[in-house]
Amino acid sequence: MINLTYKKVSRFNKRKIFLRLCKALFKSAVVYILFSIFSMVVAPFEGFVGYQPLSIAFVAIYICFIFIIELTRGTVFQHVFSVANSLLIVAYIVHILNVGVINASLEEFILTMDLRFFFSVFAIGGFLGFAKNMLQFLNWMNEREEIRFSNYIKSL
Amino acid sequence: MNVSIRAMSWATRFFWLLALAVTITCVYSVTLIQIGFGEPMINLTEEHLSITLPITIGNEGYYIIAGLNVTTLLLDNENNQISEATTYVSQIPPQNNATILHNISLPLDEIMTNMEYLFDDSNFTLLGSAQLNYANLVPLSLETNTTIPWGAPLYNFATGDPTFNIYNITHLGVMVPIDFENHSPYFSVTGVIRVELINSAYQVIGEGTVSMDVPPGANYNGQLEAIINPTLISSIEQVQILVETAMFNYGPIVIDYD
Repeated sequence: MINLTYKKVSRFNKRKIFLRLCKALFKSAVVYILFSIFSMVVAPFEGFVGYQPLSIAFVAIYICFIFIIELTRGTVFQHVFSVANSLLIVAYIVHILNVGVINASLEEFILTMDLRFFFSVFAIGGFLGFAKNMLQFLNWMNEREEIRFSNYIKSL
Repeated sequence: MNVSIRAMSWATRFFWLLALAVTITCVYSVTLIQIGFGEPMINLTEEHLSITLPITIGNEGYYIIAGLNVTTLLLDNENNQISEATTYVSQIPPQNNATILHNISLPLDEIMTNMEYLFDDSNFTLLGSAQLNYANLVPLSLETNTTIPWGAPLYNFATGDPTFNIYNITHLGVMVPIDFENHSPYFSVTGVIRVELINSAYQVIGEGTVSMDVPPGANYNGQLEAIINPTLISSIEQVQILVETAMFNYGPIVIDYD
């Protein structure tokens, strides 16, 4: 029981929270920079223009999730948000499968590319991530139960 | 459980790394495809104007180009199809160039049956498209359109009033002035113009021909001369003009004679 109280104190001390905050900000900034670069690359492609508000909303939610996951590391919320995040990725990729065919105007040519194969692969990657996060969630709950059970045995 | 989670984490990371690497290299490779057009070769026959367009495709990327299909569609100013041509290349390996000869055929015999194209300039639309399967994963298509000017070979065709002159002691000459402009950039108008003098019984009572060779962009100003017996002059009802060339025949143009 004393051990658990000590762990709780150490988990939420100021220094650790500050470090987590820095780490969360850093990760969010990296994602934001990557998204900005990606937006610049796909800017000439007309097919993406209609879905840009959706992409911005997705990235905003994704960054929020990354921030919260990092802040809540070591708690049940980390796993809950990780699962929700991977579900969000899968849902977004499945949604953009509809716009997998993109058009671009290159001088006098109109280029049409069918990228649905890649989006399908990304969707599979998203499902893999979802499965991994679910496993981690189950494992974390299992470990907690084991600790609680061993403490209960010790208390007997 | 921990081992399986770790394995799953590594598998996921590896999967994403592989997927992103393939995607990035594939998209980057697409930008390395080079398309060049050579000087078109024009071959003119009595029935067709054949344009052979050499297209060079440089596959400088890392993946194969498969099922390349180049299609051109020629439409008139009312968007009716005049001709269609397709060239198929099964594959172009990476780091290789391929030159294909795309043959576009204009059915001149069909075009010339349309009076509008004989006398009025127009514009045709050429729609070009290329479909291919990049890396056997990404279907790609490139489309373009361009306007091809059509110049009428008998632009501003006009005949003047017939005049008479003395041909010899027994006959008179009937002179019909003719002028037109060959606006066609593709071919010369080479052939003869025939004039026939018709009486009230629709019989030919006099005729004459003049040969012509009008190069692209040139004007023609000529006099058609028909020989006739002076005693038959009063019976002339019509003057008919026929244009006969290797590519088209046109006529008769009927001028009522008072």
